[in-house]
Amino acid sequence: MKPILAIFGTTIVVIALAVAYVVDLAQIPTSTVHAASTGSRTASLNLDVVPNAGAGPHPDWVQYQTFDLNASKSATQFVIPVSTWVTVTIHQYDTPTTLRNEFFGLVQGTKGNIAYLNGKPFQALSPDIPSHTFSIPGLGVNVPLAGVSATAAPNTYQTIRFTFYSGDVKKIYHWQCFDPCGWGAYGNGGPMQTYGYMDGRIQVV
Amino acid sequence: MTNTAHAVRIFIYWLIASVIAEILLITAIPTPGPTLSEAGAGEHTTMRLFFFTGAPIFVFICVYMVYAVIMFRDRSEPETLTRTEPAKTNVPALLIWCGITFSTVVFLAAWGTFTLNEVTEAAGPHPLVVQVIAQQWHFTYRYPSYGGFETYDLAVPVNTPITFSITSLDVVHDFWIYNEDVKQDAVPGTTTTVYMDAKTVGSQWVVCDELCGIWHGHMRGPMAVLSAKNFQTWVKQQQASHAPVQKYMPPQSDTYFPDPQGFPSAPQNSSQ
Repeated sequence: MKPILAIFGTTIVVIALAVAYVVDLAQIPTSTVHAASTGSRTASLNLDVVPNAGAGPHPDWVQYQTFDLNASKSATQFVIPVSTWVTVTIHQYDTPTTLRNEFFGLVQGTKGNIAYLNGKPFQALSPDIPSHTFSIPGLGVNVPLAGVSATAAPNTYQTIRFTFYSGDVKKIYHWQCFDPCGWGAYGNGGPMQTYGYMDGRIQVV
Repeated sequence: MTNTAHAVRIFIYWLIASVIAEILLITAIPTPGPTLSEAGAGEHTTMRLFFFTGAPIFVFICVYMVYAVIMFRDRSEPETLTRTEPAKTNVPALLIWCGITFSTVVFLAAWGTFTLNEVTEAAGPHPLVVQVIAQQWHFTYRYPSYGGFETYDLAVPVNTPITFSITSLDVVHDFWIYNEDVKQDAVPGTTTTVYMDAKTVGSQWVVCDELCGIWHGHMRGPMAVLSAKNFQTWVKQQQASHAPVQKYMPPQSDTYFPDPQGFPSAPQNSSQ
C-alpha cells in the first residue's frame, strides 16, 4: 500500500509542478495597446524601443514599450481597427546591429513604401544603420528602425514614422523584429522570441 | 479437425476481413487528398498502393493470431496442464508465406523507387531558379535570373519548370507547398533542392514544417502562380520597388553566412 501511495503522491506533485510551470510560461508580461482613432479610417500607434527594459524579469533586455520613457511598460500586443490607415510613430533609443538579411533594410508595405526618419522620407537603409525592424509579415510590412550612435547623449532617440493599411479582414497577425540582437549564435534568443519584448501580436478588429 | 480444414477456415476469415479492410480504406480512412502536381499524383498513388497492398497482409497476421489463440489454446484443466509438443514446421505453408511477402516487398520497393525517381527528377532543361531563404520567421525569395532581387512573397509562372534552391540563415526550417507536394528542408550553411511545375494559376500557401522557434506557426506566406505575362509584369514591379535596397544586397550565392557580430553568447547588461 505504501509504495502505491508514494507513487501516487509523487505523480500528483509532478503534475502540479508541470501545470504551474506551463501557467507561468503562459503569462504574457506585456500590455495591450489600442491604436487611437485620429479620424475616419485613420488611427495612430506610438511606441518606444529601449535598449534596457528597466523592469520586469529581464530588465537588461531590449523592449518595445509604451510611448513614455518614464513608464517602462512593455507594449507588444496591439489592437488596430480593420480597413484603417494606421500611423505608427516609434522613438528608437537603441544602438545599431547589422542586419542579418540586407533585404530587411527596405521599407515595404507602407503608404508609398516610404517611412520617415526624423521627418525625412526614406525607402531603404544601409544594413549597418538599423537597430531593429518593425515587421508584420502577414501584411507585408517591414520598416527598418535606425539606430542611435553609441556615443550619443543619454536618452537620445531616432523618430521613425510610417503608415500602413490594416487590411479588410479581421485577423490576428504576428509582428517581429528581423534584426536579431539577442542571444545565441544567430541572435534570435532571449528578447527576440520572448513575449513582451521584441515580438507580439497585432489584432485587427 | 484436420490442418486442411483449419487452413480453409483461416482463408475464408482472411478473405472476408480483407474485403472489409479494403472497403474501409476506400470509404472511411483518409488518404492524401487531391494534388496539383504530377509528382504529387505519383506520390499519392504510391501511398494508396502501399495501403491497399499491405492491408491484406496485416489482416492475415491478425486473423491467424486470433484464430490460433482461440482454436489452438490448451483446453486442459489448469491442474492437469501438460507440456505440449513443439509446433512442427509446415514447409509448403512457410514457402508460400515467405514467397508472397517477399514478392510483395520487392514489388513495392521497385514501385517506390520508380516514383522517387520521378519526384526527384530535375526540372526541365531551362528551369526558372528561385532561391528560398529561410530565417526566423519568414521565407524570402531571390530570383537570380532577374538581377537577384529579393521578395517577401513568392510568385512563379504557370507551366514552367521551377528549381527551388533552398538555404537558411539561422536554424533548420522546412519549405512546404502543401498542394504541390513540394517539401524540402532549409539547412543553414547548405543548399537543398526541390522541383516544381505548377499547372494551375492561383494562390497557394507556403508553410514551414520544421519547428523553428516561437513564431513557427506563423511562418507561412502565399505563393502566386501567374500566367507568363502576369509574371513578367510582377517581376518588373518587384525590380522597381526593390531598387532602393538593391545596392545593399550581397552577390547571389548558394548560401549566406551572416556576420554574427553583436550577438552575445550570454545575457549581458546591454542589448548588444
